[in-house]
Amino acid sequence: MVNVKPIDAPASVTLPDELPAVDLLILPREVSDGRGLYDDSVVTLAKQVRAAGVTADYQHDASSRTWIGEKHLDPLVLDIIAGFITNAGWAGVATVISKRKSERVRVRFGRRKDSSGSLEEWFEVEGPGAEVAEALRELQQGGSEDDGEGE
Amino acid sequence: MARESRSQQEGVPINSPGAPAEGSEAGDAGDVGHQHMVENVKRHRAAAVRRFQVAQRLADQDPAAAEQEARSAIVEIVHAFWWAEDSELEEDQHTLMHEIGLWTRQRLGCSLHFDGKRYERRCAIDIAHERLGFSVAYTATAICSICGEDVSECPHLPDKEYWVRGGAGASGHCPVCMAEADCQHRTDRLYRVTLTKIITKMDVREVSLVSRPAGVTTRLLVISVDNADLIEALGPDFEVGMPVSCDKCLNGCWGISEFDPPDASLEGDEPQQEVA
Repeated sequence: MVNVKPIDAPASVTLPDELPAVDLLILPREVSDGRGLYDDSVVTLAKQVRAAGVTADYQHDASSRTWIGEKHLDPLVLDIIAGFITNAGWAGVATVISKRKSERVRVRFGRRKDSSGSLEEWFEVEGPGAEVAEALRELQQGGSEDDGEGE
Repeated sequence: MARESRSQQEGVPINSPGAPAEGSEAGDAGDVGHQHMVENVKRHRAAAVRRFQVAQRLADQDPAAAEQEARSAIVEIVHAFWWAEDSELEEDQHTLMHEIGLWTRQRLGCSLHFDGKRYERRCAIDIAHERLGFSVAYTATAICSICGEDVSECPHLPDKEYWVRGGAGASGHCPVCMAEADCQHRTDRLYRVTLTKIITKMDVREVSLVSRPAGVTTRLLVISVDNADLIEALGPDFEVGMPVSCDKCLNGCWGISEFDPPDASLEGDEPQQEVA
């Protein structure tokens, strides 16, 4: 059962004013002393998405990233916070997530609703990987129809 | 298939006819996490069965040795049970755990541990029925077991297998078995491996009690028993210090307690632990 809901932007996470020239921007869970603390479930996400032909990057460069691990068997095998910049970014994440099939994943993502960047909306999608991937595709189509967002 | 399996275990001599190129992809990895779980369940179960059989053979002629084997079999089957937790393999381990427990109780006897002042539950079967363990939350940097580079940027993908040399490599570990030295994997052979994240520096943030620790065997070892509870249960003739028999395994499974985690956690006090 997939759960989709609008949320406030996660604490201490913001989409940068100037979005980088990538399809997907992976955001940290926390920022501490200028370092981005990312959930360790996304440690290989950028390169997995890149392998699907999509450009992706972390908000912090490699020397400023640290990974947060919580070693209990939380049902979440992927806990992603990201900014979707293009439709390809959505598709890349959906491709990676769909491989997790019945494993539970959570994606919290923000996107700009207008070109000035003043309207930003955030969603949380949680559930089995295959269903979350499908929900992301549906949200992507809805967003594209609403505001013409695209590559 | 058998040949493929043998090549995975023994490796392929580098530059032998038909040998793959070093570092090349070896196909999709499949569900690595599930495979790892199954291997560990099988390994511990096999050890449990072996030791249980030895215990049964020795029971008449050497009860002390039989007891040692039986208690070891219990530890092994409980490890198999923990690895199998929540999987399709859990119930089989649970069943064998009770079979070994029942035989051990009937043939050898079981009792609570007494430390001179109070009693303790130390039996792994007993503790396995409490879903509870320790979880570490940390921040860390990580490298790839195959190339030794930053695992978030190197070219190796978690859902692929690669042909790599055995022995300690760029990461300082053997990419096949993760040993830092003295492993059985040869540097002149190629093995199929998947990447493993190697933590290079870890700062502990907190230690929590959780129902499903990912460190599969980070469980309780001892549960204290309140003397007052024993006095109440065993009646006025009971005196602290008397042997207290444990009969739990005589009557089948008594049920598994699910731990309801509180909000509190134990703050970590060693912020600069380094893990190789």
